[in-house]
Amino acid sequence: MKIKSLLLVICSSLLLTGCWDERLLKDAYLVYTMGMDKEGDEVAINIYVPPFDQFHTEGSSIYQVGRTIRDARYIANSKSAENIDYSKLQLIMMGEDLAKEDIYFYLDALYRNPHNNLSARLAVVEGKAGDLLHKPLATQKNTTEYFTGLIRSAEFVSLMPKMSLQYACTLLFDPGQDLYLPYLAFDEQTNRGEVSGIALFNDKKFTGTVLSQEQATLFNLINNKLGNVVRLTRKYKEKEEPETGNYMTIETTMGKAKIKIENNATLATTIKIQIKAVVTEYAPLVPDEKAMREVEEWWTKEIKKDAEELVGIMQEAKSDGFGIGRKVAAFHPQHWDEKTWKDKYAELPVIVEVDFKLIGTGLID
Amino acid sequence: MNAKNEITGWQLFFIIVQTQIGIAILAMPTDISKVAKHDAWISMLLAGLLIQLVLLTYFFLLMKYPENTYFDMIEKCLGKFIGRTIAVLYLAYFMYVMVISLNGFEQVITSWIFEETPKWVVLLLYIIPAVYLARESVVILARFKMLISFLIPVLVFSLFWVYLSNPQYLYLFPIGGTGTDSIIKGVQPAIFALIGFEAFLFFGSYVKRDKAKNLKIASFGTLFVTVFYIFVIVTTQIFFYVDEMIIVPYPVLYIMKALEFTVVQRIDLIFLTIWMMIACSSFTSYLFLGANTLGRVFNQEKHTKMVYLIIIIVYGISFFPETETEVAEWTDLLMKISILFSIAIPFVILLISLFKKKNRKEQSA
Repeated sequence: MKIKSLLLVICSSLLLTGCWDERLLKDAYLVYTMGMDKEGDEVAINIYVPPFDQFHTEGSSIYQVGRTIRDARYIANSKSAENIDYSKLQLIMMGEDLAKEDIYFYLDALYRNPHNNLSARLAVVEGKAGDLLHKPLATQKNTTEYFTGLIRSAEFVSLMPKMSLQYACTLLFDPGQDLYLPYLAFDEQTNRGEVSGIALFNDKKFTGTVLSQEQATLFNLINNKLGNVVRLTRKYKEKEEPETGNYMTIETTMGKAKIKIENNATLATTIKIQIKAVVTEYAPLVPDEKAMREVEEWWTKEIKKDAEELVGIMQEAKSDGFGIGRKVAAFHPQHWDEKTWKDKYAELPVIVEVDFKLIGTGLID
Repeated sequence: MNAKNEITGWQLFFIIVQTQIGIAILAMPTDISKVAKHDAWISMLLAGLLIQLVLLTYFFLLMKYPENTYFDMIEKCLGKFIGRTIAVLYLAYFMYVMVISLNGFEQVITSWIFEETPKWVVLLLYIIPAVYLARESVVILARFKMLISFLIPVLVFSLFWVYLSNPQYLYLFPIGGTGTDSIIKGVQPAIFALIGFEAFLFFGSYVKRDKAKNLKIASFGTLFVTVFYIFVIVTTQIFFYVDEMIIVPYPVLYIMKALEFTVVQRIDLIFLTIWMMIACSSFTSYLFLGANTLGRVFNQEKHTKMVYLIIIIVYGISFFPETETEVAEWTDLLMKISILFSIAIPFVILLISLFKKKNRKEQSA
C-alpha cells in the first residue's frame, strides 16, 4: 500500500512540469536596455542585450522601425534567432523628439504586459537615443550595464531621485504634479555618457527645458528626494590663487523643504528650505565663529538666489515638478481647476526662504 | 447531532473572514474608486457599518431559533413547500457565486501569470483542493481556515512597503471632496466586496454552546475584514493617482509588481500564491454550503456526494462566460442578487418570525 501511494506521488509529480507557459532561458533574448526614437511617422526601437558569456565584451543589438512600439518589437522578433524577452528591462531611453510628444502612447505597451519590470528606469536622451547607444564608450562595462549604472550613480549623488516606470506613470496621470526624468547626453571629450541634468515635463510632454546639474541637486532638495550624497560647490571668493581656492564645497547632512500655499485667490507660495551642512573643501580655512557666520550668510543668499532662478525656469516651462498643484487640489480645492492650473502656475508668486546652518568644518578648521 | 458538528466562536470568526476575503480583494479598490474616486475608503467604511447592522438581523434570527439551521427557520415561518423553494433558490445563488469566483480566479491567473494555459486546467487546479476540503465536516473546514489565517498578516506586512517608499498622502485629500452622492454610490460595490458575511447566518447554526457570547465574537469577523479592506484601499490610493488606478484592474498586484528587492524581483507572484489559498478557501465555503443545501433538498444526511454533483455543474457553467465583458456582466448580476439573498430575504424572515410569535401569543391568550 505504501509503495503504491509512493509511486502515485512520484508519477503525479511528472504532471508538475509547465507545459503551456514555459519560457526557457536558452530561447530568450533578454533585453536590458531599450532606446526609442521617432523616425518620421514611425517609431524606431533599439534593443540591447548584454553579452551572454564572459568571453564577449559587447552585447548585441537590433534596430527596428515600426508603427507602434509593439509593432517594431514583433518585426524585430523575426530578425532574432531567439524570442525577444523584455521582462528584465532595466532602462528605457527616449529620444528628445519622441519625448516632446505625449510619451504615454509609447509607454503604454510596457504597462500592459504582465511580464514587464516596473522598476525599470526611464531617461530622456539629448538628440537620438539610438545615436547615444551606438557611440563607442570609454568604459569597461558593456553598453547595457553602463547606462543603467549611470542612472544609478546619478541617484547616489542626488542628481536624480529614483524614477521607476511605475512612479512615472503615477506622475503622468496626476494633473497636480509633472514628470521629470534624467537627461542623458554624450560627452565628446571623455567619450562617455553623462546625466547632464533633469528633463522637465509639462503634462505628458517634454518641455525642452533641462535643469543643469547644480539646479538638479537643488530641485531634489526642494522635492525632499535626496540621495546618499549631496554636494554643492560655489565660488566664494574672487582673488585667491590658484583659482580652485576661490571655491567652497559643502556637503549637506540634512536638507529639506516645505512648501506652503496661502489660502486665497493669489495662492502666494512660500518655499522654506532648511539645510545643515559641513564644509568639505575650502583651502583658505574658516578660522573663527564670526567667519562661520559670514559663510552661513553667504550660502543663505546664494541658495536663495539659485532657488528663485530655478523656480523661475520651472514656471516658464510650465512644469510643476514640485507638485504645488497637488497641494492646492488637496488643501484649497476651491481654487483648483485642472484646466487652468498651468497658466495660473506660471504666474504664481513664489517666495523662497532659506535657513542655512554650518554644523562642522570636517577634521580641520 | 453529534459533537463533531460543532464549532466555536473563534472558528466562526475565521470562517467569516475567509469567506469574505476572496477574489474581490484584488479588484475591489479599483471598482470602488471608479465611483467614489479618492473617497473610496469612506464608502467602504459606510458599507462595513451597514453590514454590521445586517449581522444584527442574523443575530436575532439565530438567537430566536437556537436549535435550527437557517433553512429550518424558513420552513417554520413559511411552510414546507415555500421553504424548499427558497432553499433551491439559495442553492442556485451559491452555485452562481462559485461560477463567478472561478471566472474571477481564471482571469487573474491568465492575465497575470499563465497567459497560455487553457481555462479548463486553471479551473481544475483551483477546484481539486476545494473539493477535497468541502467533503469534510464543518470542523475540518473551520480548522483549515484558522490555519491559513496567518497569511493575512503576511499580506498586510507586504503592503507596508508602500508606506516606506513613496507614499503620496495628498492623494487622499480633500477628504469627502468627491461629494456625498458618489460616496453613497460607492457603497454598492463596497458591499459587493464584503459579500461572504452571510456565512454568519449559515455557519452560525453550528455554534452550539454559549450561543450569544460566541456569536458576538464571530460578528467581529466582518469588522475585521472591513478594517483590512480600508487599509488596502488607503494603501493603493496613496500609491496610485485616482485616474491611474481606474485603468489598473488589480492595484494590489500592481503595487507588488513595482516592488524591487535585491534578490527577489517579482513579489507579485509570491503574493498571488498566498492569495490563491485565501481565494480558494472562500470558494470552499460556498461549495460546502451548496452541498449541504442540496443534501437538504434531497433529504440526504451526508453531503459528500453532493459536493461532486455540484462541482460538476458549476465547472460546466463556468465555461459559458467567455470574454472579459461577459464575465463583467455576470458579475454585475451577482451584485444585484446578492443583496436580495444576503440582506432582503433574511430580513423578511425575521419580520415574519416576529409576527408569528405575536400570533401565537394571541392564540394562547
